Amino acid sequence: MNKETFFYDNRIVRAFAWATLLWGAVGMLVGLIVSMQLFLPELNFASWHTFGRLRPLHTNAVIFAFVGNAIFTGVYYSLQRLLKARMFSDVLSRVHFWGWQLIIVSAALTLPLGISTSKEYAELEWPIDIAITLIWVVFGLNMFGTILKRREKHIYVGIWFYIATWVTVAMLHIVNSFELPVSFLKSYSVYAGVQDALVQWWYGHNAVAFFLTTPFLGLMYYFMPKMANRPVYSYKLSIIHFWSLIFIYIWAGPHHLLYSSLPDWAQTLGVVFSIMLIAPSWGGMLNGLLTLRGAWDKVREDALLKFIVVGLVAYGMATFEGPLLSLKNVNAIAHFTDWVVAHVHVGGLGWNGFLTFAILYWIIPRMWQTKLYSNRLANMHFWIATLGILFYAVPMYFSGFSQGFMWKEFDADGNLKYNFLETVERIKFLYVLRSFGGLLYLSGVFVMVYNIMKTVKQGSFLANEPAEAYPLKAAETAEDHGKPAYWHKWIESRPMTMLVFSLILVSLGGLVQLVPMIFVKEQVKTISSIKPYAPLELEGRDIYIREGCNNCHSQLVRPFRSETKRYGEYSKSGEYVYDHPFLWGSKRTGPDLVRGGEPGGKVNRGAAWHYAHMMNPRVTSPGSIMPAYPWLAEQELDLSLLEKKISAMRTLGVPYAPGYEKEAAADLKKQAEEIAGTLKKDGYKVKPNSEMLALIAYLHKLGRDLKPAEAAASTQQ
Amino acid sequence: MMNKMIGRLEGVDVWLVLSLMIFLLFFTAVCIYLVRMSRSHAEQMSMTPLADEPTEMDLNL
Repeated sequence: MNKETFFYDNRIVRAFAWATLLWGAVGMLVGLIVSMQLFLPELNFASWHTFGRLRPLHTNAVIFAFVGNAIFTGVYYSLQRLLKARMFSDVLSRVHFWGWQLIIVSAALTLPLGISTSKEYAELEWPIDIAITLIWVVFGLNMFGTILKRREKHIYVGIWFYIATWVTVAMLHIVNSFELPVSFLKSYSVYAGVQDALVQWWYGHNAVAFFLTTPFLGLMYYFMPKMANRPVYSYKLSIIHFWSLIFIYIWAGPHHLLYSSLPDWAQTLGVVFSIMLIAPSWGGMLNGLLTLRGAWDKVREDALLKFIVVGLVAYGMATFEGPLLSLKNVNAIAHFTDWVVAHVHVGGLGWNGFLTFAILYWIIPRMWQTKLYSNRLANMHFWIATLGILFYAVPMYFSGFSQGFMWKEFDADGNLKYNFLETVERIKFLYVLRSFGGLLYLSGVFVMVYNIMKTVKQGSFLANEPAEAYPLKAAETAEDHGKPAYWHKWIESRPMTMLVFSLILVSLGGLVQLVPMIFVKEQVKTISSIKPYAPLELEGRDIYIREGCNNCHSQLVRPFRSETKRYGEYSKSGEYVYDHPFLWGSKRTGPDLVRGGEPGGKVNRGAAWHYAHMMNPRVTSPGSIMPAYPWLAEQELDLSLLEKKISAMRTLGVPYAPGYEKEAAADLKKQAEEIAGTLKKDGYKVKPNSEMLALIAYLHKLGRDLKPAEAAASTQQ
Repeated sequence: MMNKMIGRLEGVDVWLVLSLMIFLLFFTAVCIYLVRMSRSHAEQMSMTPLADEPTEMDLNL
């Protein structure tokens, strides 16, 4: 049988590559801005430009826009060549590309406007969630279509990683996005409190695993041998690495919720599986590094190999540090601090960033049939970016250690040694250094853009790259020489079996953790004194979500003396049963707020204090880095959705009486007038329908219902 | 021990043990598969990325 001639589609690769460069620059620029807002609060000059709204824009832009487009660039390039086939459908390729860019633009418009679900890395509202699902299906159809029409019998391990990525991201996204719409751009999570927290961090952790890790491992297994011109060190190790990684990763999510009110059994599972993760993660890293055996001398000259090697080392560091951070004694110090920020940026900047740069430097000269314009500039980029990572990570580690230890330090009399603001003052200069690191890293990206533009200018783009291969049947015969295929090769030639096996393995961890938490009622101890939010408090909660307060303030007091002494009684799962969504947060740039309304509590502030603080935090808290929110006093509450919100909450199980939605507006007005009256006595005149009143009402609700007797009873259970 | 760890939640220990068993069985099967995999096949697969397009020499880069 004769060889077939066909053409690889380079146009789609080019489109995704341009999108990677564009969104990379935008996402990192937003990151630089938010990092500067943490030492220059004046940069929070408008409602759409506050840290709380821009931080989700940064995370979504770098994860889904920069890294997402980088994944698609690498996958569309490597998949065609590994399978010796053009993509299944050019139309699907283009629908995928434009659909994904439209989703990114939607995110860029909605997040600064405060349209957010609040759930980290899943902030986008329900219509965009549906769009993500549809476009992900288009990507899957195109990928599996290509696999089915391939000319290569065996499916290389890199593609296994792509398959696992596709199926797991689909599962995670769908399960975590169950939300009840109230309007076109507002919804409530169907899960509440501790259940919502578990689902969210099952998603959040595995978004790191299956969006930032597995696709890049697949890309590494394809591009690294090419760059080093060496075969993969051990194909067998890559197989064992693949199956153990995808199984173990999915169980580790609860390590984000240690010392929370999540049941102990779930926390323990998270810790055990996190420690187990070191083995497959390091197996992958070592397999990558050992692929360079005999070619280490090339690393000295070749910027691409430098990026890959440092990227792999960053991956190894992050995947060793991750399990350590999930040990309870380490987590007690590190959680809620900048330590975690340092950890994720070592992975993000080092592993995802550096691999992406290497891949772009590798594919662009080839698609333009030329050489890279300047190896010197690529080397310069490497050194600027490496310095950038160091200037980013080292200050953040010191900042994290400072926060973790200062928050826990007591004086000789048994009192907390530092108030929260003192810890903020101590780390401000570290935030300046971190921004310098970010600036260096971003500068490196612009050096790369210049180098790539010059490369493109000197070359000529090959839109349809010719290739030749035997059709699949002939390839099988040639390979097996007429003998029947060995039994152990069967899975490598069965993509759908691979898909099903992957789905079963990744589902196990999710099912074991999520099913009991969601369906077994006794997992959440009820506290009879906890009442649903009053209408004004509910509106205030939505403002809290809109402004992204949860990006800096936690609502979870852990059972440590240092925390109960600072904030009050530690948190119980029964407190959060009406919280759709949960708002525990993952970082304490500011103090915890969950005891803000506790009668006589340590952190209960009056309405006048909140008003003055919101108008200008530096007045009540000198040295604070919180944005001012003067517009909250001016903007009027939009009550057009109030009735629908009450009804939606009732549908989700919140015990509002039937018909209460009709009375809600009156109750809201009454409570607002009471707070406005209190403020008037203190000399502040506030419009009785301003958003400020709703936010104050919400902050005063937090912890108000938890009576000491109830708390004790709940603890004994 | 597993039962104690998960407290009063009946039935979940079965899930945990069952899923770990499935993984162990699967892991064992993968190990057997790897042990029995021929060296030539592993070498051939490890060369896959290098065999899919012209080398740098062919392109005269």
